Amino acid sequence: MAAVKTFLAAEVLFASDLNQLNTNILNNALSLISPLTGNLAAGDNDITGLDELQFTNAAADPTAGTTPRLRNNAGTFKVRVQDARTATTARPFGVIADTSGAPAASLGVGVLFEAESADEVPSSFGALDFVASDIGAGTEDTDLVIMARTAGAALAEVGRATSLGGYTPAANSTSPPAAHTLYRDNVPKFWLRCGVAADVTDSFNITSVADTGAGLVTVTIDRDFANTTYVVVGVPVAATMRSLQVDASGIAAGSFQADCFNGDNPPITQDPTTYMLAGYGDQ
Amino acid sequence: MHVHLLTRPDGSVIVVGLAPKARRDGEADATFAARVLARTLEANPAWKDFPVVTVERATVEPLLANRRFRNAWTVTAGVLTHDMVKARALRLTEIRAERDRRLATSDAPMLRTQETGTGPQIAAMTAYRQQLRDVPQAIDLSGIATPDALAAFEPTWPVSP
Repeated sequence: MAAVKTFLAAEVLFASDLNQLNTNILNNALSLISPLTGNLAAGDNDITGLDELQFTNAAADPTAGTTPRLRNNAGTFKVRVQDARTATTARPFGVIADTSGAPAASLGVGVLFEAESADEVPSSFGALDFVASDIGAGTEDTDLVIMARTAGAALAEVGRATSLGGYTPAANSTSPPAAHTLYRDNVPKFWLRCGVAADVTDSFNITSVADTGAGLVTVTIDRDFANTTYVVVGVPVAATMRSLQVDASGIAAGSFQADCFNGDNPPITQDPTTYMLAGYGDQ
Repeated sequence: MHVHLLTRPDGSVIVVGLAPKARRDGEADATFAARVLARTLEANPAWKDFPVVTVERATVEPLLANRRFRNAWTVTAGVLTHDMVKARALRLTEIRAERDRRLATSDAPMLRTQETGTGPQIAAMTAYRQQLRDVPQAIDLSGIATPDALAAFEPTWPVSP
């Protein structure tokens, strides 16, 4: 141990000096046992005033038992923060990932969840990652990526909450689809309510509505479909008989033409009061 | 808010209205309108060579709201207006449709008259139906100069005996 005080000739040892020495020892108890070469038993006591626990073992394999970890043999490991807040959200637990490399999009930080499966070996059950879609200083955008394990394979993205407030399912449904479940293929890709004179009342994923003639409207979609096999559903709103059909020759990945007919025999194209349209398909 | 007026080779007009929710954050009106036009033409390439006039919607709103002769709209010197030749043709088509409806309505009375009526009654019904057939060609709409006057025009319909 290094000397904490060297007495000079005729110097008097005061009680305050002893108190200071004792305080230093008590406040730096961990320094007395560093480097730690065995288990440290706290004996159901608290370790307080700790600034940082720093692990130097960087082993990457979480199943090999060599990854630095905090362990709790029973119950729930809890992280608590106590302060005087009343109406704000506390975040008692933080995860920080620093990098020495140049940050680029897709850089992120996450939490890995592991549990034992039938093989009694902890394996990755899932992860919650926050990933940058824009890494620019001051313009950062991040997505929350939900990762899960399917058929024992490595974790894969199952959904993404984007910085702009959207949620993107990662896959189409399988047969039979789960009940009440959101997939890519059951999300409406556009909807529209518009008048007959190219006046859009409300919409989603619509760029423009073109009045191409009496009873004829061409809808341009903001983000294209992947192909032309999408489905348009819609109704014309009118005081008298109207029927709506999508013009087979007018379907493109980014637009379609809807024709509204009256109840005459033969029917002729005639305006409704309002068009209500929606579309489903792959993007 | 702008609208784009595209003129087809036959002079008819496509009115492209912007979806307000397609506006990007902070996008100025003119930029928004230009981007929507570009996207609309990209998605509808058959229109890409049509002449385009972009106007404030409010300036054409009264005409857009009057759909009676929608298919006669045209753009003349940058102004959305009616092609009166087309409008007259549309009105004549309406009159023919009304004539056809009246003829169809007279089919059953004509048959009954032929079965049970007298000679003069048959002649009167036959004359009535002929007068109906002659109505369109007896009409001259060339002197009607405005869409409103055209809409108000009604031929003199013969009265069923």
